[in-house]
Amino acid sequence: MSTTRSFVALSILWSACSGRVVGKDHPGQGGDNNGGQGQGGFDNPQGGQEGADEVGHCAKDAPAFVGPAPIARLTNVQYQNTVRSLFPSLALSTATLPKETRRPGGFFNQGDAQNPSPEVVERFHESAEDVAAAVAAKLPSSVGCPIPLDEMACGNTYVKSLLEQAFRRPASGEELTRYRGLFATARTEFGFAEAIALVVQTTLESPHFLYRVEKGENIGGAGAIAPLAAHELAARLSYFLTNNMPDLELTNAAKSGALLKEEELAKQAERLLGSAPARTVVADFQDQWLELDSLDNLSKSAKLYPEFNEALKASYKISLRKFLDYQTWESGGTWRGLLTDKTAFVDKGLAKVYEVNSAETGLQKVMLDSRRTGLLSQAGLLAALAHVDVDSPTKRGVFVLENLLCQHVPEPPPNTNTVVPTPDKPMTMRQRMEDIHSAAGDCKACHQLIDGIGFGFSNFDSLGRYRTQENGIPTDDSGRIVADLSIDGEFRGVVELSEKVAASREGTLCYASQVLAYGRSLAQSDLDECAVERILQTAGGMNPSIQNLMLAVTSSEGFRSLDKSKL
Amino acid sequence: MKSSTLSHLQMSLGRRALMRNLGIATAGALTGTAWEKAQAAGSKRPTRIIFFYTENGTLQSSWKPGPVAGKSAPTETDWELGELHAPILKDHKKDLIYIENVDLISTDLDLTPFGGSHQRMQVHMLNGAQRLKPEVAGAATINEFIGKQLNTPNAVTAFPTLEYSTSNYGDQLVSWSGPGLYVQPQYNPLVAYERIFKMISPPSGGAAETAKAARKRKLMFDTLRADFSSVQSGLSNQSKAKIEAHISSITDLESRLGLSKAAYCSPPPRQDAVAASSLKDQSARKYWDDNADIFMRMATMALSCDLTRVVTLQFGTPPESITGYAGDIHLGQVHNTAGDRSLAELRSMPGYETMTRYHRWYAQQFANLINMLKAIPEGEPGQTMFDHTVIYWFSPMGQGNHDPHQMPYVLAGSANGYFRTGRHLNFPRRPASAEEKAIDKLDGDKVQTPTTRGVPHNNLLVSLVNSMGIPITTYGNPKCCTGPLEGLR
Repeated sequence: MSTTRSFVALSILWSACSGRVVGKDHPGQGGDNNGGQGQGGFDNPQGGQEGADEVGHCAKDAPAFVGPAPIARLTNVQYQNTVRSLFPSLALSTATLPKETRRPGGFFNQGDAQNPSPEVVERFHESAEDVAAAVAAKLPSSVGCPIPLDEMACGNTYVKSLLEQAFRRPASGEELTRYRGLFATARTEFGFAEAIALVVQTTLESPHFLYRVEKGENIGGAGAIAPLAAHELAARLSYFLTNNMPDLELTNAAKSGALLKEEELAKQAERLLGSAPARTVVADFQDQWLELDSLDNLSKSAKLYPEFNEALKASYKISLRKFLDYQTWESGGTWRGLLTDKTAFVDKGLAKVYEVNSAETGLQKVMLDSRRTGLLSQAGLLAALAHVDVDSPTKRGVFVLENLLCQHVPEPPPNTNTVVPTPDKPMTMRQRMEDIHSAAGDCKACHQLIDGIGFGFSNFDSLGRYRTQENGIPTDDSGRIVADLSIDGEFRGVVELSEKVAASREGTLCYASQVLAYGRSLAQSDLDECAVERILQTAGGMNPSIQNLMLAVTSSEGFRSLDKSKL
Repeated sequence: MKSSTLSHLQMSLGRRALMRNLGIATAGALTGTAWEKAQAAGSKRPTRIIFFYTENGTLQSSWKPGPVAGKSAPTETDWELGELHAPILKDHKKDLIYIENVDLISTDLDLTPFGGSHQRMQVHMLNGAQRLKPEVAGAATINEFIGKQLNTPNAVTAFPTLEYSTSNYGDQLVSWSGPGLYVQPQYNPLVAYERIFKMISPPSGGAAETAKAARKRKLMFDTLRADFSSVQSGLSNQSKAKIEAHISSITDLESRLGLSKAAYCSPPPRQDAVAASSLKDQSARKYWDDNADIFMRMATMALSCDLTRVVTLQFGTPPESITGYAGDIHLGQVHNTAGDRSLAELRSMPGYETMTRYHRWYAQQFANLINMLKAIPEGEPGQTMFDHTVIYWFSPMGQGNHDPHQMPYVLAGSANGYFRTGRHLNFPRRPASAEEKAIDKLDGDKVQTPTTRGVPHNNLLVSLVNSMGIPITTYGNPKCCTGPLEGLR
């Protein structure tokens, strides 16, 4: 096993579809541009079962992963939190920020996926204008100057403190001159209030505010790897763990340089992770990782599912989020727990879906019976991974492969006949899929991988209800994983599938890699398998809690440095 | 104005009401657009272009123009609308150009890994260029390119382009402002409304206020430019490109904000945007009809006031309440009806009626848009804004089997006399070259692209760019671009 190798978390199953060895050396089918290197993926190196808690096989002396650092713009959440922190005394209405996009398998914070298009820039301009007007309307208290007001002194002091906070570092001499000059000129021409407004607006449109600018320390200048400057590190840490700018304590640790010491960094990371905003950060991560936004556009056939309505649609998401929050913060938050925790939260509408009794109002915690377990049997997820009329073994299989195991399944190639004929006799969805996919060679290659997993969900319909019959025919939830993974083999139903995934090396590494990608604002294809292994080692093995994974990301060497050869 | 093809909504309104609805000032004689009135006499009417995107190709043999009575085949000038569009577009036949046998050849030459097959084609639709990554464009699309060109070196319109998605339906990868730079369409009619409204609100003060605002902008943007240049050093090329794109957007914004406000322009009633944006039930027909309607009215208003000359409208996959099909229409019916079938065979397919309703809903929106443009007198007596516009109707594939060949292109409007309309252009097919067939080898001969090819869509892209007064000779991948599409003019 080589010590450094390319790592493509979205390892491509295409070649497996063609009946070849998975994820290796299939020319032209990479998931990403990675310079034509082999597609690594999470191999099962010796072909055998790993020791349950043994993390990996990367050499102990493998060079640390630093990775690229494309300049990243604040996400909408980060922007809003930061503006509120900069102007705590103002009740700011939520401006209309540009709708965010992310690449498949990526996160909103991914630096190389954000386009400063004219409309995006216009939105930030308008937002800055609104904030500036609000600051100007509450002078001088909004800038913290004493009365009687010395306008010039106030402006000069305010420029310094505003820039230091907004840029997350002390302003350079040049910047101070520039912004003080702006203030002085504007004050002469338009008066104090409008000068302050102009300073605020300009600051909020500056790249030093909108982007996390990282250039590293120029120590020696010889090597490509440079440590981040203390203030850059503070911003990285703070935006990762709180989706906000550094607070006073963290800023002070950066100012004194203490943050550059591992112990202080760890102390600050633990402190921030224990603060309330961290809870919303984890939720933000989970929303994107599990693509919960798809629940906002959920629709079901009115003819087939008269019980589906807007209220149930909302309940699906609230319940799923509540489960994730509970699992993370009250039930240990481990990877295996996420997949095997028997808790669910139901309201009146969901009680019918889960076939349990419920309280009259609000969400109530219930324990699931032996038919369901963990994330994969949450009704909201099952309903999201279904068609408007029928359940979808394909969507469910692809979700497990891609989101939980980091195996990228390609869409049908162009001109593939993807017709699913309407059956002329009652059939189960499984039978329909088996009919088509076993017959046609084109489909079989990929669908045996997808369906083998997806069929394990056969006992759950398009609303996420348990069933043992479909169209009068008994359902069959036996499944089989044939993806050349360590968990290949047969299983029955979602409960066994969840246990398999939870115990798998690929699932665990996939989970850790997502946390690392999110924490570093990178695409998964930018990562390196050994980096993920190290995160897991630091986090305590193959059943990490998300809290430990996040801490491990912050203590990794790559988090503290910049590779100037990659950037 | 022809009233026979107006939608139910406009049917109930008189001409003045329709004009008012479109945001056109109705005071006085109806002799010209608000923009026109604000211009000096004799100004040239600007040419506008609307990109009209619909999903899942078409029903090929039902879409294709047919022969006139007594003839065996349609010709360029003697032809009839196919049965898919005939009931809806027949009154506009003289204003249309149906284009057969144009292929997305650039997708055949692009061996970048597939990613999603819909996305792969979407990325190619408007740029015909090699992708950067599976679902990432490698070049600007022509809608963004045109908007940028028209507003370089200085802004002439308040918005270089407007991109609207009439349904909040996930990302359709239509517009890119450069390699890797995806442009998100606006899907919320109220947000879109407010954005336009800001640009047409009359300035609160007089000339002094306007001058003051300009001076403040200068102070601010000068400071920002210095900030931006200090960021650049030490960044990777990719990050630098992003910062440059930001600088370009800032410069563009500064220039646009300096334009005089189009105060003569009156928008559609705000409550219509509020109402449409408050609709949440995406399975309801009303959601689809009302969102399509308000977005098209806002687009028409923005074009008539010269707030922009480039609009992109995206239409997603309409639901059961429109198609009458309860299942997953993409899986169940779109694919079903694809393939090389005669019209008779197509009619016998189980999904035919569903897909006819599906595609006719798009056609109805297309007709509604034409009617909105034709309702606005502009230029010589008898002329309307439609005469100075071209609508380009496109889809990521030819038909429902993900085949990016035989694209169902329709042009409406002459773009200020640039295109000769009322015609049917049927380009010959030729054997595919080895290079064009190389894509079939990517997955062990499982992919079978057709054995023939038509003309590359890159040529059509060049013609569209040219029609906007931008003299280019090639666009996208030069290997599949030989200049403007023949016979369009």
